[in-house]
Amino acid sequence: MSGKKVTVTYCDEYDVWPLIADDLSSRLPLKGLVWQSSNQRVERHIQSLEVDLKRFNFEQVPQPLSTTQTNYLNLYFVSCDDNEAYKTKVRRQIRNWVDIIMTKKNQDWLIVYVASPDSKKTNSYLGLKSSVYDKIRTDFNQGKQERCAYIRINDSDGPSSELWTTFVEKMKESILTSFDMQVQQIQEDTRRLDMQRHMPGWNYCTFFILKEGLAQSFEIMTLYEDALIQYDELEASFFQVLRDKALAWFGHFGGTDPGDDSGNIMDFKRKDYRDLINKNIISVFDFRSYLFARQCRMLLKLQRIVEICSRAQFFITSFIPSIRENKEHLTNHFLESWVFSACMNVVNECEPFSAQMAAIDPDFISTYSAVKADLLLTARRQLDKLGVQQKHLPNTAPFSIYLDTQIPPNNETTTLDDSKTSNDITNQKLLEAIDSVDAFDKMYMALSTRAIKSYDSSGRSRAALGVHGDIAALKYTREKYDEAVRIFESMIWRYGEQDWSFIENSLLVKCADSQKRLNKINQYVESLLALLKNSSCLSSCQAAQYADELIANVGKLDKEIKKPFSPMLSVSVVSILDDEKVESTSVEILIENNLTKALHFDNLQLQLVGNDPEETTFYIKNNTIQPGKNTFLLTSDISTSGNYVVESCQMFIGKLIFHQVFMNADQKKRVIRLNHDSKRLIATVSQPTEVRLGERQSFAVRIQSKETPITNGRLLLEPQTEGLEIINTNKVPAKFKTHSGDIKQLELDMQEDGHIILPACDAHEELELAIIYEGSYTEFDYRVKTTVSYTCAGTERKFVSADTISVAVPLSVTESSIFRETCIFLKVELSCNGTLPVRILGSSLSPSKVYAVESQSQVNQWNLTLFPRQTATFVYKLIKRNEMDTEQGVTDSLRSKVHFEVKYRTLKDEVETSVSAMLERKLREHHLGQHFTYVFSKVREAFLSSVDYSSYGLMDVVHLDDFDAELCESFLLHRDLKTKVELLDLIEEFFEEHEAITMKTIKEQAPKDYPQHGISFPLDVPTSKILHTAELILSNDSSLIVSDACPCVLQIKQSTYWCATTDTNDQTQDYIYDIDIDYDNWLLSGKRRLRFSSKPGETMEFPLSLIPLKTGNLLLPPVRVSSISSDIFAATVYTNSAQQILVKPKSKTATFFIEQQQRILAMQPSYADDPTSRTLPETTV
Amino acid sequence: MQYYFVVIGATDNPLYETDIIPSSRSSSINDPNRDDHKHLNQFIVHAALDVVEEVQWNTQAMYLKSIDRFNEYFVSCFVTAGNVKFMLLHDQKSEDSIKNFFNEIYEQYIKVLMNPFYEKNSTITSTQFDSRVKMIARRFL
Repeated sequence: MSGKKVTVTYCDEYDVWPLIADDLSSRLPLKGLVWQSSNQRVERHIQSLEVDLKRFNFEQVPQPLSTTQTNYLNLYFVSCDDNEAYKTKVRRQIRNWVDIIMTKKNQDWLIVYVASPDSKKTNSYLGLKSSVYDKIRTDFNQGKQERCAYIRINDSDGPSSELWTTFVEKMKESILTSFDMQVQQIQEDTRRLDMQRHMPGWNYCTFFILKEGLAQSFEIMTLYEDALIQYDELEASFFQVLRDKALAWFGHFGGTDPGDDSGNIMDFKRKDYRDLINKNIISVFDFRSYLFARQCRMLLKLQRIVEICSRAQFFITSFIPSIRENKEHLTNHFLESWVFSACMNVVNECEPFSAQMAAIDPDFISTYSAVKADLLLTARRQLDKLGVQQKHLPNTAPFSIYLDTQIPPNNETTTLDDSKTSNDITNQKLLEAIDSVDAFDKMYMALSTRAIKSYDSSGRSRAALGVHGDIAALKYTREKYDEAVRIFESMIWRYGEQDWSFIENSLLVKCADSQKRLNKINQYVESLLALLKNSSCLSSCQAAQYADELIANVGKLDKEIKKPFSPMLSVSVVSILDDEKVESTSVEILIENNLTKALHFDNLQLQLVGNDPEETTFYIKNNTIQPGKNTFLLTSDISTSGNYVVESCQMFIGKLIFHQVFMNADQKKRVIRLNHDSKRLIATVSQPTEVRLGERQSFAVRIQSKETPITNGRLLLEPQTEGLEIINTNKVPAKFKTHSGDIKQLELDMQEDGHIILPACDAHEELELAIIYEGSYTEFDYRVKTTVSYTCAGTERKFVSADTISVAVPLSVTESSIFRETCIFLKVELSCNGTLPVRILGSSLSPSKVYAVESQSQVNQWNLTLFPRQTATFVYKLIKRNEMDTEQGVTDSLRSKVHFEVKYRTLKDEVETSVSAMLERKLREHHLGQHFTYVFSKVREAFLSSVDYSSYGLMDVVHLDDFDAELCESFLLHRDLKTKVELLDLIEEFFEEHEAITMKTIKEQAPKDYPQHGISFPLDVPTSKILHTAELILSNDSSLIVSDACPCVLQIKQSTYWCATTDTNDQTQDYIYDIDIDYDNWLLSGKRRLRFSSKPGETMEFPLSLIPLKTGNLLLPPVRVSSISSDIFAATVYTNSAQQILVKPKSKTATFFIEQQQRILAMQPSYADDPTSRTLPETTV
Repeated sequence: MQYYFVVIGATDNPLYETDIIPSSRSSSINDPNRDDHKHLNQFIVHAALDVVEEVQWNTQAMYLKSIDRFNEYFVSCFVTAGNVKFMLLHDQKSEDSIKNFFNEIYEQYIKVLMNPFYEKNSTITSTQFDSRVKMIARRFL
């Protein structure tokens, strides 16, 4: 029925057909038809319509009902010029023809007048004589419908002839009219029949035939879309009927005809389906095949290739259950054969079209590939089933999962039956595959690879992945382990990565086995690990078996394999132990072994990161993890303190490494606070108790060996403050305190790289080193990293610590010197450098090479509290040493400068030392001594910084009253809760007990060896000076009388005692003397100020006269000698300094009015204002 | 046939999976090939993720309906705002009840998400979720 065209009959009783046939066929197929259905608004455009021209047969046999009418138009060609002939003969002939046509349903007709080439359309002249054509028109036109057309033979206008165009337009119109009528009629019939659905005697087949007629009509008119709709409606109604179980007339399922299992399902002419339907004997199988084939036909016409494939997939898979239900009537393997054939048919049919489609639409390939791959895979799965049934494949996953029912594994008889009847399959390709394993494999591979390729080009990588797995499984079954492993290894991880553990394991089992057979130990172990990772999906005996395999093979690895702990093992840090019970700081780790076997590991280590050192490792070696929970204590060779973050954990089993990183972005960091091992070597760096300013400064390093005898010790100090430099002095002085209490002075070697070699120490010994550094003067806090590496009982260990050392000096001095002829007075003013009061405990001045201390205060032990902004002054009398001393070597051990040495303690230090001693004792009582260093440093920072030491200095009581539990809690984090609470309680208790501490307690609590701090300040005392001794020699120094001139001599002598010993001293220099005369009291005659030259030892005399202006004891005017040039400083010793001289009045009497005393007092306020009033009562002459 | 329901995280890893035995067909509890099916189920669903990726961008709805077939089984999918997919492998195609099922599951899933201790895209181990899912399945499937 395919290839049906619209039929147009022609009746050619005048033999004009041969003349016009070419002209007519050149205008076919008809183009650009527009059908406006009378009951649908939508216009359907028919681009091109093929027309079949047939000669009209007057004696037509009636067509069978089942065939669809295709004849839409009848033409009658008439050629007659003679009016008479028309009247007599032609008109009747036409009438006959019309009468026959009118009996037919839905057929239109058209009388075509064929004129000779030269004739005119109407030769009527002024309408007097009408032509034959006009007559025909009048005779046969009914109503408005034009039934006549006029064409000309060999029309001179050629293809564009207007007459022909009109004729063709009329043809189109007529065809559409009759088509429309037909459609309406069928639709009406169908609707009527559909309404009777539930009436007895209703037959689906009849309905089908009728409705399909409509579909076919559409098809004829190339309206495939509408045709498809009809078929889809038919399918829907079929299922409706199926649901209503009203398919009584489908007596049998069908599929029993030979070749049914391999017939092309897209071939709707494979059987005469319509006839079968018409006869009501069609089977369900045939019916559905037909319906599907017709749908495909329409889709193919519409070029909807993708839809064909997806419909096919749907049709085939949804038909499977029906086939399965009717299995007993069908030949063996019917299902597999049919599905396979169907899928392959569809793919093969679509393939040629796909190439064209792909050229048009670039997106087509990916969508098409997807559906194609699905079909190919469905076909391939039939191979799986057949393969298992034919023993080409083992009855295991992944081949067996497609089987509808599991074949009992040891049932030989069924398989025998199967192989006997396998000939029922008529698909040649399948038969080949069943016959030989090679052919089977070839086909299996070909189909799989095709499916993979298609999936890949459609971007469905996961689906392709599954097929890869199937191929690998086939290779494995065929013992081609190499290939299998290669495929497995390339794909399994993709499932593993996303935790598709069931799939992963099912593949891994084969992969691992292949690897084992190939002796690929590394890969085998990896596979085993992956299997065990998903052990929840394994049976317990499988899990045990793989665990055994793992243990057996792990030693044979020749390269490292790194795996995460989880989920086979799980690791977590429990706590940190560093109290007295453990030998050294230990991290407690919990490892849960989810395997059923014990695992022996070589090394288990935990990395922590923090500051100084940046990484530290805790480890335990050679131990066994039993199934279940295991606790291990890990220790470290490095003793350090501070907060450390748990970074990672590794477990080494041969070359297999389990690891876990704890520092993930989405994970909370586990911070643990480490304390230095209290039982191992400890080194502390501090400012030395004796500080000598003006020299190179040093740090005091105290190393306590604690309970560990050490050898091979090396100390390294690394500055961590900018500007700080540890000076390499090659030799480092050290004090070595053995455990018997002896103190030895040692000199230790310092290597090029700054390491200081330590002597071997026994337990409980102590070393004190002084290491010289250089730093900027503005810096008072230095950060130094101390590393001591040593060997203890064969293990290399390390002590690492980074401390901030405060080198601030709490005191400062200013000195001034006063020169006398043969001695010098040194005045030292001591003041607090900062805001902290300092307790001065002692002072002394050590002499220098130049000066000896002649006399000083008898007291040099003090207990003097110096507060900020106070000064304490110390005065020393120094004399120059004579040369004898120098020669005798007395001065050899002395320094070039005098040094002022102070012994002191700051009040802060005093308090903190005692508080720390008390706190330490308290912690130790509760076995928490290991936390002391840390806790005290925090406590000091948080609670002791605000103590008012001035008030302590004044009142001898210190108040510790600002304890803040929350703040305290904040620095006790990073330890387990128990420790934290204990510590917090202890500290709180401590602060409660010691709210106020008296100085007495502090003194009592201070440790026995509490050192006094000492500072030695170098003082610059000039050794040479230009010193002038000025003396005013009065001629009369006993009876000076007011207003009487007294001649005197100013004698100025440059001292030689303070001369520098070099030759330049003899040089004469210019000086000026100045007499600061007080003109109220004195008048001076002579040079008040004079420039003169002098040299050491020279005495100058300047005569002067002084006139006292007042009576009484007058001060002699002061005299100053200074140098002309500003760079030479000359000091003066004025012999007459502060000398008073009595000036007598001229008269010898004085009168005092006693009673006027009162008045004087009363007058006093105006004293200053009125100078006259002053003189009045005072003296009377 | 049992239903197979799986929640798949944004990184395509299964977060939760369960076999649901429909109340109407409780006779199939003693299926000897359970393990086999588990493998197959995962397999089907995993392959269907390809299709989900294609479909999810072409619709605004969260419920993608039935997106893939494997023999006579259907795979229905529901994509949450966080690109977590609920996938149900089933045989009978009853869109409405599956839609209701998914919507209820979505509500439960949001409750899981609201748990501050639940990390996104990690396995759902909540037993409450599990029992709720089974309850919802009994009601709608």
